[in-house]
Amino acid sequence: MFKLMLFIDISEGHPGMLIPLLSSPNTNLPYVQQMDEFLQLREIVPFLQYENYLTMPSEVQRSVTIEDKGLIAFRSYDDSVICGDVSEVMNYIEANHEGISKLPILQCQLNRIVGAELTPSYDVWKSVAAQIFESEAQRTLWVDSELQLFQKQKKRIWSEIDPFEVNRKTPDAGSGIYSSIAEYSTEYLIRWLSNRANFLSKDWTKVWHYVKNKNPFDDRLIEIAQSWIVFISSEGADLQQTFSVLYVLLDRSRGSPNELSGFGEFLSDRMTSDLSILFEAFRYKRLFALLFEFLSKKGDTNDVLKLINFCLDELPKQPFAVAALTSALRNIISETGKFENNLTQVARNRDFDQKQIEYAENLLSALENYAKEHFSGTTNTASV
Amino acid sequence: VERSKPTHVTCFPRSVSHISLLVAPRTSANYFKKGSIGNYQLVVFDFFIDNVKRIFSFESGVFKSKRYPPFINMMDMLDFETSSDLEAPQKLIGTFFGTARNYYRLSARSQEQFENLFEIDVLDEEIKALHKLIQEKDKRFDDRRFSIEVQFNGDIDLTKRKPLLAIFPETYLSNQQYIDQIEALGAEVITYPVYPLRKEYFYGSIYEKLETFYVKRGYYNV
Repeated sequence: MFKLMLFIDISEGHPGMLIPLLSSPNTNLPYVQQMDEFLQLREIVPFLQYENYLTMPSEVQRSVTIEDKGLIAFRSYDDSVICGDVSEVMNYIEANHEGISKLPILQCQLNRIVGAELTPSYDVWKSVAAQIFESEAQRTLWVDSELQLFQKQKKRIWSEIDPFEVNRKTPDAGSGIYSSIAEYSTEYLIRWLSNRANFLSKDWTKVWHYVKNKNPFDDRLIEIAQSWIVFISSEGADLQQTFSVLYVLLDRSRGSPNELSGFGEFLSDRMTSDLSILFEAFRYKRLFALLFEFLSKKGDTNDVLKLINFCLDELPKQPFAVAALTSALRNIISETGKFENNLTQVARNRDFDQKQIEYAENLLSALENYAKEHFSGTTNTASV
Repeated sequence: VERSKPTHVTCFPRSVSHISLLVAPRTSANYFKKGSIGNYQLVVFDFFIDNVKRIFSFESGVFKSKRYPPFINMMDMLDFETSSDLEAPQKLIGTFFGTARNYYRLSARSQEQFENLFEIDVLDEEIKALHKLIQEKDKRFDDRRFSIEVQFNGDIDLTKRKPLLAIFPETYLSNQQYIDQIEALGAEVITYPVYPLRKEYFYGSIYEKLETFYVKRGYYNV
């Protein structure tokens, strides 16, 4: 069961559609819905990018799961936020037809939900074009493109999209995975996930998230995810595709100090050998913070200092990044304190030398000075 | 809305000799975002090649993720890099598809016609593999398998390099300031729906609408 958490305000404060952002009780990952042409919920997929959008909290409490009617949300003509399934939204539209019809851009979007016929749709398109565009050629192009889409979407677009067919042979059933996956036992799916022959399947992450949501405490999934990331990496594939799985691993490891110990060194080594991955990780604030928190505790210190140095040289010094890197350096230096106090215990695990400590302290001091000058010390509060 | 940072550009044809570019930037820049919620903002240009870094006949990111069939992924990706010939995009389209419309619909020349026309000898393994890749019907390999990719060395300044067309979600129509900025660049506008929320539906809608633009503006008339 996924709970409504926020709305992504793709209409940026104006009347128009909003996108519900969901959360699962078993992971801290944010999710969005994927629907079929009947607005039925067919998949729920991780969506780390939400931090890059305007969002607004949801005042209503809703929860949905696969095969439910999907949640539709919009800001209405009177700025009220409406969220419901297709039946509820159609009732609202019918009851508020007059108000909605005063805003053709909103009406044009809601017509898709009610499945309006061609003639009323065409009138609304013409009103929208007249309102928005000055040039007649542009108005005609826009209206014609709507007409073309209206005529083709039933017979071409949806027919070319995988119809979420049930594939009984294997869970590797294209984007239909979620409707077919429910037919398999957890044990079968875990075996499927563990099989290296499936590691390069594009559905691997979908299946993993599905099983993880259903079995949040099954440690085998953590082991399998590590093997998968190591495999993907050894094949030279782009680590970016592992981000949603990595996010769950790192988030979980925060409360389990002994988990993922060998994985930290692997990850810091892998990232040091392909520093460009940091540009991708930088796009997700929360992942970036989790990553450096984890690496500062479990990564190879030398590698992690290299990564931090690279971030300082190459990435924009945005508050969240400065906060994450500052916090990571503090973790590293605090480990050195333990090192001095309890040499024998920590020396087994971590290999500090004086140069590294000085280097970490120099980086930290540079970051703290930068934060003082630019964000008035907000980095302390902005850390994870 | 002044700069596009195209680390990745997919070419769409105006004709075999004249191609426009659909810029689908993979970047964190504020104006161009992508993901499962379908917030794609794209601009289409007339073809240009200055400041080109690399040209591939397919999307290189998919190759790097090992998501093409083994007969492609077993080769070295740089064997498919063609920037030494700046007319490579036109030649690729002419060779494998014949017409702009066929390229857009990813409808390749038949095996027989292809081999008769070009007398492929045993050494042209890469060329044969590419032709086989286009004809691959498995849905795992989507249209990125033959989206010609042009990588540039730097940003594209949209105030200097005028886009022909901008495509974005229809919710943005309410933002008159945004529309004015796009129109000030000299670009025409088409929009696509936000619901039903489905990544593949956004792609399908954008393809259909872009084709309307190509047809109405004569880009298919060679």
